[in-house]
Amino acid sequence: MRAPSLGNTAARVAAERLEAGRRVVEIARSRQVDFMLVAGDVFEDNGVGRVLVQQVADILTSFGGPVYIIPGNHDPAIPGSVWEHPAWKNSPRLHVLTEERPIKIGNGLLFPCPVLQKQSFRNPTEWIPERKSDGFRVGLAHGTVQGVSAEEPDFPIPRDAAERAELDYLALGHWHSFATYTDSNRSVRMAYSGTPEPTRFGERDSGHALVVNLATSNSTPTLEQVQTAGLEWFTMRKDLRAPSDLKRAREELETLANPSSKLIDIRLEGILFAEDRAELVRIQELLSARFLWGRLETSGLHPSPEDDSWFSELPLGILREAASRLASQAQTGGADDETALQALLELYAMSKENSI
Amino acid sequence: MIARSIAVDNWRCFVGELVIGPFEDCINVIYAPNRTGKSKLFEAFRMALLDSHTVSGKEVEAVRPWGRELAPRVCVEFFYNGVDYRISKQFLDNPSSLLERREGKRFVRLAEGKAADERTRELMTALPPGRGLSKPENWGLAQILWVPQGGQPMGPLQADVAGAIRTELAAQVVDTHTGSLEEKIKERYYEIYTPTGKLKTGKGAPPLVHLQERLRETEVALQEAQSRQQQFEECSRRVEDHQARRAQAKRDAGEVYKQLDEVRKKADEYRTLASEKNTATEKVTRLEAQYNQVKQRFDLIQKNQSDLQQAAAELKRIEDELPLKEKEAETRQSEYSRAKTKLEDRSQRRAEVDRARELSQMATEMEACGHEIVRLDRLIDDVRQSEAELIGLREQLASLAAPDTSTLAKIRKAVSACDEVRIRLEASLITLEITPEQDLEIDVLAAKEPGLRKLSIGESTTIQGSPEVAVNLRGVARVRARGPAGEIEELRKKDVQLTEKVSHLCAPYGTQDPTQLQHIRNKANELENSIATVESRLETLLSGGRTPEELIEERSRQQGIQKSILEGIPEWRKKVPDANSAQQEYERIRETFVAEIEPVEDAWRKAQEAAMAASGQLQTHTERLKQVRENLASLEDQLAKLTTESEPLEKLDEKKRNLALQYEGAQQTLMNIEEQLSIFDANPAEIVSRLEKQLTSFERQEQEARESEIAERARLEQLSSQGPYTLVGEAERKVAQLQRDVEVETLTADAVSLLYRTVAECRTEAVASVVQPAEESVTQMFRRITGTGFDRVRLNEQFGLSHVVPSTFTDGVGLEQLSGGEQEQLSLIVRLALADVLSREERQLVVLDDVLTASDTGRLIRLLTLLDELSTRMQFIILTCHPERYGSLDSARLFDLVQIKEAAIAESTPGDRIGRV
Repeated sequence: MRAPSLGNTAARVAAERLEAGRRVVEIARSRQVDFMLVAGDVFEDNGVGRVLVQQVADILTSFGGPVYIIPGNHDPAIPGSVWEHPAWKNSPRLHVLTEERPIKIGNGLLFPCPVLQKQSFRNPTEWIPERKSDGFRVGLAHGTVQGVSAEEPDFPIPRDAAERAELDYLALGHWHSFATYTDSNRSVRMAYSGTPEPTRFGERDSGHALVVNLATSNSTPTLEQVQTAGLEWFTMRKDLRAPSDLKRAREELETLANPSSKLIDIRLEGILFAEDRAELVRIQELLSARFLWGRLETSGLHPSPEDDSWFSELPLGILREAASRLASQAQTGGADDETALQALLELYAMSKENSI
Repeated sequence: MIARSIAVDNWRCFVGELVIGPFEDCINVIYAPNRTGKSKLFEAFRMALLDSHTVSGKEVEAVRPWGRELAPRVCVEFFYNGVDYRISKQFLDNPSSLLERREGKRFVRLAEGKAADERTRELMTALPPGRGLSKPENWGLAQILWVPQGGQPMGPLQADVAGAIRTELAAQVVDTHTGSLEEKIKERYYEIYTPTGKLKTGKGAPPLVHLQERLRETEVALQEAQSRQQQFEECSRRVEDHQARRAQAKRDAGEVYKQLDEVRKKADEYRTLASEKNTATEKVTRLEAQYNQVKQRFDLIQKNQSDLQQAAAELKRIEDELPLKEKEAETRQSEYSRAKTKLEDRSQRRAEVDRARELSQMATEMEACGHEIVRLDRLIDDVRQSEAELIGLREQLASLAAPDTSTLAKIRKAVSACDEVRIRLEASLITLEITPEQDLEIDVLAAKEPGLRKLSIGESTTIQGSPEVAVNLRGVARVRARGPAGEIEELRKKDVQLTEKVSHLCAPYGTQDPTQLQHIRNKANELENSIATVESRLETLLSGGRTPEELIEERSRQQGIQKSILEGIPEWRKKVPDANSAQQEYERIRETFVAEIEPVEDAWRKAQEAAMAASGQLQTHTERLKQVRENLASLEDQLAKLTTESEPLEKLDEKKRNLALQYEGAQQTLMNIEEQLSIFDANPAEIVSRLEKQLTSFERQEQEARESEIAERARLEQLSSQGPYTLVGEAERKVAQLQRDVEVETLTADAVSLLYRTVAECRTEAVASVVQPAEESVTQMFRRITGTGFDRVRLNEQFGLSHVVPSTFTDGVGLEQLSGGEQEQLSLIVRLALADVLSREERQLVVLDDVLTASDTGRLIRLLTLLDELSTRMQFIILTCHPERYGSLDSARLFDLVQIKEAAIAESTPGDRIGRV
C-alpha cells in the first residue's frame, strides 16, 4: 500500500490490511465456508515486495480450504506478476485462476474471469457458456458494473451479468465499497464485497467480508456482511460561525472512541475568533498525540473582522498597528491569507508568553 | 561621550605641551583674545577623535609649528559609557595612534594604530573617514554637537547620524513592553533567517532547512524508485511482446510447414505433367508439319485444276463478246463525227463575238485615254501657273531688304537706348531762355551753337550748352551759367556709340525708323506665308513625287495609245464610238452566239464521251482476251509439272486425312496435360523454395524471441525481487511526510518573516514620524529665546531647518526672512535640540567655537539659561574671546588660555603628559 499522504503512519495501515486478511480467513474458518473467493486486486501492483506476496499467500493458506483467486487490474496476470511467485504453487489449496475455463467444485462449476491486462473495454464475463447441466454456477469477476460512476469503464460488466450467464451468484471485485445488484426477480445474485480494510477517506462502505450462502442451484443466495476493518477513516467538516463552535468541535473530537485506530481528516472553515485560537492549538495537539493519524486543514478559516479584542493587550503603537495589518491581510481572500493568519497566531502566542 | 582634558604639543602656535583640563561635566568656557589659538584647540579635538593618524597633505602640514621640524601631537582623555579612555596621536613624522582605557588607577593600552583610530571614530560615526582631514559632513555626531567658529548652519546629516537621532526619538514612542515583545519577534526571526533575509544555513539552520534538504534527498530516492518501477513495467511489457512474437512466429512457422507439405506433393505431380507435356508437344509439332506438307501439295494441284477450268470458260466468253464490242465502237464513232461537224459550223460565229468584244474594249480604252489627257492638261497648266507665281513671290521677297526678328529687336533696343541717352543729354544741357523787352543783339560766347544773335522784342530764344553757357547782352550784361561737366561728356560719347550702332544695324534696310522696319518685316512675313502656300499647293499637285516632265510624258503616252487604236480602226478618226454602246453591242452578239452554240456543244460532248467509252471497252476487252490466253497456257504448264512430280491426287488426299487424324489425337493428349497443369497457379517448386525460406525465417524469429524473452525474464525477475512498487510507496510516504513537515515549517517561517517585516514596516513608519517631536522641541526652545513671534519651526526629514511659521502667518517663511541674530540662534537651537535627543542614553560633548556673536544681550542671557538647563544632560566646551558674555553661567568653569599657555612655557618640561606611542 502506498498511501503517501499518511507519511509514517502508512506502515501501520499496511500492516492492518494484512490483519484484515487474517480476520477474513478467521471468519471463513469460523463459518466453515466451503471455499473462499478472492475477486482480484489482492495487491496494489505487481511490483510489490516479494515478502508481502509470501505473507499474503501464507494468510490465505491458513484458511485450510480451497481459495480461488483471480488477478485484478492492479495485479493482472502478466509477465513478472505476483502470480508467478512460487508461494502460490507451494500450497495445493490456493488456486490462482488465470484462464477463462470452468472449474469444477463439488457438484457445481466456478467460472473465473481473470484480468490479464491493466485495461480493457471487454466484458470479462461474456465468455461464460450457457447452462448445460444442473449444479450451482458461480462466477468470479473483476470489473466495473455498468452504472458505477467511472471516467472510463474498465472491464465493463452488465448489471444483469449473473442472469445473462445463468449464474447462481457472481462475486465481484474492483470497487472498494459493498454493493449489490438484483436480477429481474429482485434477487441479489451479484455483489461487490468491498475491501476488507478501508483504503482512504470517504469510502462509503468498506472494511467487510461477504459470507454468501447458496443452498441449492437456482436458489436465491443469502449475503452476510461481516466487518473485518481494523482502522477507521474518519472525516470531520466544520463550518465555524460562533465563538464556541471550535470548542464544541474539539470536544467532539475528544469523545471519539478508539482514537489509536482512527485516522482523522478535519477541515475547518468559517471564522476564527480570538478566544478560539488556543482551541486550534489544542486540536492540533490532540491529533498528534491521541489519534493514529490526523490532518487539520485551516486554510478555509478567516479571523473574525470584528474580533480584535486581544489587540488591546498588545503595547500601543507599532505592534498593535502590525497586528491590525496582519488581520487585514488575513481577510483579503488571497493566497497569503494563511500566512497572515499564522503570523497573527505567532504574535498572539508571543504576546501571551510576554505577559506571563 | 564627554571630554576630560586635552593636551597638545607642537600644534600650530602651541610649541611645547599645553594641557587644558580637567573639564567639568557641565559647562566649560575657554577664553582668550583673538589669534591666540582657541580654534586650534577645536581642530585638535577633531583630529584626535575623528582623523586617521596617517593623514597627510598640505592641510595637515599646516598644523606643524611654522619654521620647525616638529611632529604635532594631541591627547584627549574622555569618558564614554562609564569608562575613561585616552587617545594619543602623533601626525606627520613617525605618525602613531594609541587608545588606552582606564583600568583601576591607570590607563592600559587598548588599541593602537589604525584600530585605535577606528575605535575612537566609532564614538562619533559608523562611517569610515574620507581621504585627508575629515570634512564637517563626515564628522558623524560631531556634525551636530560641535559648532565651528561663526556658528555655521548645520549641513545635511550623514545617514547614520540621522538614523541615530531617529532611533533615539523612536525609542521614546515605544514603551518597554513593546521593546521586549519586538525583541522576541526579532529573536524568533533570527532563529530562522540571516540579517539579509535568507534562510540560515549550517549549524544554526532552522528545522525547515534540514527538512528541505532531507526532502530533496528523499525526492531523488523517489525518482529512482519510480524509475525502477517504470523499468519493471516496461520489462514486463517487453516479456509480453517477446511472448507474443514467439507465439506468432511459432504459429506462422506451423502454418508454413503445413503449406510446405502440400506444396511439395504438388511439385512432384507438376514435374511429371511437365515432362509429359514436352513429349506430347513434340509429337503434335511433328504431325502438324507432315500434314501441312501433304495438304499444301494437294491443295496446289486442286487449285491449279480449278483455275484452268475457270480460265478456259472466261476465254470463251470474251471471244464471244468481241464482235459486239467492235460494232458498238464503230457506231459511237460515227455519231461523234456528225456532232463535231455541226459544232465546227456553229463555232465559225465565235470570231464575230471576239471582234465585238475587242471593239468594245478599244472604245473603252479610247474614252479613258481622252479623259486622262484632259486631266493631265489641266494639271500641267496648274503646275505651270503655281511655278510662275512662286518665282514671282520669291523675287519680291528677295528684292525686299527686311530685317529678321532678332535684328529688329536689337535695332529697337539700340534706338531706345539712343533715345534715352539723348533725353538725358538734353536734360543735362544748361538752358538759357531770353525774352528781350527791346530789340537786342546778343553774343553767345559759350554754348552748343555760339555766335552772334539778334533778338526782337518779345521774341524768346533758348541757348543751350555745357558745361557753361555764356552770353554777352551787349550794353546790358554778360550772363554766364555753369553746370556739372562730367556726365554730359559721357552721355555724348555714349550717344555717338549708340548712333553708330543703330546706323550699323540699319544700314542694309535703308531706314532707321523702327516702325518702318517693322512694316518691312511684316511685308516680308506676308510674302513668306504666300510662298509657303504656293509651295504647299504645288506639292499637292505633284503628289506622288512626279515632276512636270513626267506628267507631259504621260500625256504623250496616252496620246500614243489613242493613235495606235485609230491606226487599227481608221473609221474612228471621224467619230469615236461610245464605249457603252460598244459594250452593249458586244453583249448582244455574245448572247446570241451562246444561245446557238450551247445545245450543239452538249450534243458533241455526249457523242464524244460515248465514242470514247465504246472504244475503251473494246480495247479493254481485247487486252483481257490476251491475258486470259496467256494465263491458260501458264496453268496448263504448271499442272503438267505438278502431276509429273508427285503422287496422284487421290493418294495424296488419303494420306492427308490419315495425318489429320493422328494430329488431332496428339493435340487432344497435349490439351489434357495442359488442363491438368493449369490447375497450378505457379510452379510449385518455386512456392516450395519460397515457403522453405519463410519457414526458416519464422523458426529464426521464434528462436530470437525465445532468447530475448529468457533474457528479459531474468531481468524482470531481478526487478520484481526488489519490490519496486513497495519501494515507491515507501519513498512516497517519506516524501509526503517531509512535504507536510516542510509545509508546516514553511508556513511558520513565512509567518515569522511576515510578522517581522510588518513590525519593521510599522517601526520605520513610526520612526519617520519622529521628526515631529524634534520640531516641537526646537519650536519650544526658539520661542523661549525669541518670544511668541513664531508658531512653529519646521524641520525636513533629515532634521535640517526647513522654514518657520510666524504667529501672524499661516504659511511658512524662509529662513532668509529672519534677522542674522535669529538665524544664528535658530541654527544653534536646532543643534541643541538634536544634541538633547542624542544625550538621552549617554552624556554628549557639545563644543561651541565663538558662537552667538550676533545675539543681543537679552537673547544671549536666555540662551545661556537654556545651556545651563541642558548641561544636566550634556557637556559644553565654549571657546570665546568674550568671557564676560558668559558671566551669567555660575556653574561654568573658566579656562584662561593665555595664562595656561604662559604657565606651560614657564614650566615647560617636554613630554610630561603626551608620551610617544
